[in-house]
Amino acid sequence: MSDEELTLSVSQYIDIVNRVLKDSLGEGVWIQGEIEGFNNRTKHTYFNVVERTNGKKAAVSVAIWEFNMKRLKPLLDKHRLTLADGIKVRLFGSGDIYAERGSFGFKVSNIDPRFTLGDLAGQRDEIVQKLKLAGLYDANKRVKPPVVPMRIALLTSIGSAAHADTLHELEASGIGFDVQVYDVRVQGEDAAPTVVAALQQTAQRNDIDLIMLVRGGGSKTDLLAFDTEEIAAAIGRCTKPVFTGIGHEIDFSIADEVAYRAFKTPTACAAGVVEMVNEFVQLTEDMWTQIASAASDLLQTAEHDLIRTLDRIRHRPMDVLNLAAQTLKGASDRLRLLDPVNTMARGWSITRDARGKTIRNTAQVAAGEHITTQLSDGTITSTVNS
Amino acid sequence: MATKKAAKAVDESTGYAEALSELETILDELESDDVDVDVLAEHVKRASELIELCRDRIGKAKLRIEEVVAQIDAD
Repeated sequence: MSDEELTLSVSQYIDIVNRVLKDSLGEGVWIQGEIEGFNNRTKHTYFNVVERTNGKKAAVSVAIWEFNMKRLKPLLDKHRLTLADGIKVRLFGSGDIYAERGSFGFKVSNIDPRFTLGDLAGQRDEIVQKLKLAGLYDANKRVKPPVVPMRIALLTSIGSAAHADTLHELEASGIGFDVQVYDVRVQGEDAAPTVVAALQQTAQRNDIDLIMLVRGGGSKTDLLAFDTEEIAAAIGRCTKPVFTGIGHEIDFSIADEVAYRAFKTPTACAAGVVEMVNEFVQLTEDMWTQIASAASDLLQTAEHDLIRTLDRIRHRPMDVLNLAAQTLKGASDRLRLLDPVNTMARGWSITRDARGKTIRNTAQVAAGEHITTQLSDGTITSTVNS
Repeated sequence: MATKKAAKAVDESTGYAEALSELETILDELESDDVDVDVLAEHVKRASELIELCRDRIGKAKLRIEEVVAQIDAD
């Protein structure tokens, strides 16, 4: 029996396994997992797709041949995705054993970009929730803004287009900004640690008013660093306002969400800072205009008051004196009417007895007494008969 | 009544308001029904003096004010 047992050559065995695989799985199957060991240094692309569950790892070696990659590239570009380590993917293909090495490989013929996008969105939501719970989601937005941001820490990759665009925009404003550039990585695994370190360092300096974190556009996966919890949390903890200018128009990273202010490009970010300074300049101009106008108004009012006062000084005393003169004339007229000289001129007289006392009634005199009557032009002496 | 007090001599020290007040009192007295004819002439004389004093004061004040106003306008 043992001699008759089926014995296959290596190539026969590989052929059978490959045929069984093909018979049972047909043209191919979808598998999903995370990219690890990404390598596209040769014309073909190789990596492992791994799955980790309960501490156990399962991995499949994957190859995307050059012609397949060329075919799939437009699809990836359309969704602004780049394959790299850590990215979750759903791949269609078929596996077989490569006879020469005896290694199993999964050849990819199609990719599902929506799966990757969905995974990124899910991760993003999770991070946002964590930040909110930690009170870091809108912490930077509550940082006290500088009155006029003149001293700027620019966190970017030195030599990049974003670096040049930002500096150009700041210089073109003609405002004398003091810019300290911090060289940070803006993609890949070094991005988060370098950006976080630079944020912590700049926050401690007391000669920095505002932090700008800028990076030019790239694929969604290129910009992943700005969706990491590390960078977002560092922005949340930062005691200075962080302005971001990351990627192109349609990108909005978690770093943008938590920043004091987010702009769509590095140039727009610099323009935002310039605008803040210009607003301050305008404010001081307006205040100066107000001060000048208020001072002028006050002077004018004071001058009017003085003119009015002078006018009163000119006229009021004369009015008072004229009134006094009128009152005096009234008194004088009254007096003239009461002066006995005038009364006597009209025929009235005063009669006095021998002692010179005015006679007011008949009982004051008796017959035979001499009386004197005073008239306006002299006196008459008479004797009382009865 | 003012007239019962010894009338103060009318001079530079007499105030305008004081003079006018005395003048009013004298006039009121002269106009009352029980005016004493014996003091009539004396009252009238006193009143004339007061009127003269007041006129003089008004005239002098006018002159002084005109001078000051002219000075203000010249400045």
